[in-house]
Amino acid sequence: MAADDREILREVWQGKLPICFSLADDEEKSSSIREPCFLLVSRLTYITLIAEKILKHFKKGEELPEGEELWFEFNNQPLKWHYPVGVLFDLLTHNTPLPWNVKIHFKSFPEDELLHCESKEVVEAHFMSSIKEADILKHRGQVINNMQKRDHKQLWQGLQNDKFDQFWTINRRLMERTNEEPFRSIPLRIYQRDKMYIQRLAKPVSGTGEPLNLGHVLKRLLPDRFNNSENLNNRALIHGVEVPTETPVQWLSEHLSHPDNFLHIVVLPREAAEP
Amino acid sequence: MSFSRPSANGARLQSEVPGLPFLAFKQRLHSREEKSTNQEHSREEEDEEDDDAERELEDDQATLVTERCDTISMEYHVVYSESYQVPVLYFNAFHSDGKLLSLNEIWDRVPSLHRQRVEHDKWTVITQQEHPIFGRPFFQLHPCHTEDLMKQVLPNSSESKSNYIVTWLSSVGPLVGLHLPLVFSELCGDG
Repeated sequence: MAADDREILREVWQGKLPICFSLADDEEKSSSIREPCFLLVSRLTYITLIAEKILKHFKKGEELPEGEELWFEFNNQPLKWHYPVGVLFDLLTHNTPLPWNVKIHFKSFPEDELLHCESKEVVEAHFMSSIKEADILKHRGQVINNMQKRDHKQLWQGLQNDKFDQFWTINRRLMERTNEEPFRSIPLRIYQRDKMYIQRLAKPVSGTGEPLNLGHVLKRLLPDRFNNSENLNNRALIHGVEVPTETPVQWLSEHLSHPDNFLHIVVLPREAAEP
Repeated sequence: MSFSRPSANGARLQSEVPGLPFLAFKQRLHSREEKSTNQEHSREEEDEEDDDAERELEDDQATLVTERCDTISMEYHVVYSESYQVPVLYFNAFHSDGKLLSLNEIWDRVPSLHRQRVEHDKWTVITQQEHPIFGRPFFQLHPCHTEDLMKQVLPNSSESKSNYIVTWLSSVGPLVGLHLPLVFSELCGDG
């Protein structure tokens, strides 16, 4: 991997968002601290991983009573903790000035919309499951299945501890090409507002061996939004950056994937994205 | 294109999203739950230091048994996974008051013989996931082991697609309380 390209991995890893957490209006004033809590949160993490800090601040570290579970909300929308924080931000906020104002709830967990997340183990299981699925798509699972359990643990710990080297020592194996061949299929998810994300098989090369780029993938998976070659009406954001559609998807997968080894692409109408 | 074909047991083949058909069916399970709680004798606090008294105490403990009759509504979806290239079972289970069962409550209902097989991997075998079509929380039976299972059960890969589905559902269904009535194989026909 070229030195410049390696720099990109570090830049992506360091992306952070300033978030202001405050108690939702319908939460009891007496049982919690009311001052908001400001945190600089990694774009790459899952929002429930900061639960300890939140509970320490709002509940003085006391355990929640039976039947209560922490959940987050923005603009009356419960935040899906299993999406990376950066994806939630890019998808849901538009032209909202920073910091991102997120509401905290302990009561009335919306279980028709949100997955439960009672412990870090749930987040870990979700994260590892994504990594395994990504490797199935890229290498038929051969790389992940040949790793030791402690290597899997190291990936998770690298993410949790925000340690680039700890994570990438193992992850670079998941980013390698087998026998110089591109990945069998690119792990990606395309997010749009008010819709379930799209995940389909996406090959990095055409039938004739030509490298395929982001534009090709978007045209195939979102033909209604990307049917003209100018692509003027919609933007595709990865880590908050509008990526040129000529970028090869193989390169995107190797350099702009999230730690779960998926490319999370947010598609927004251009009017909403413009200041 | 959208189509649905109801069958004798209510299974429907549906297609909400082009290219992503899924099988959906519901059933109601009447469940009688027995909860045993040990009632501590109040003597325990006074005799904490005394080992003999505590041993006597264990024989003295009363067991309170409460019976709760509950009708659990189950919803099952079978969706094909492009990543794993196998069918995946999604399901939800609700108490009669509409409340979703917890993962622990789901595991309490898995027949013990199946539970023993996957005890060490419990928390990764059944997980909550976002339904790939509807985006709502559903429990999922992880597809990881399906390919191996099916290789053992259906070694002849030229079996028709419908036989594969019926065989797969018969194998994994009982894990989550889903027992296929014989009439289901009529639905699939052959080929």
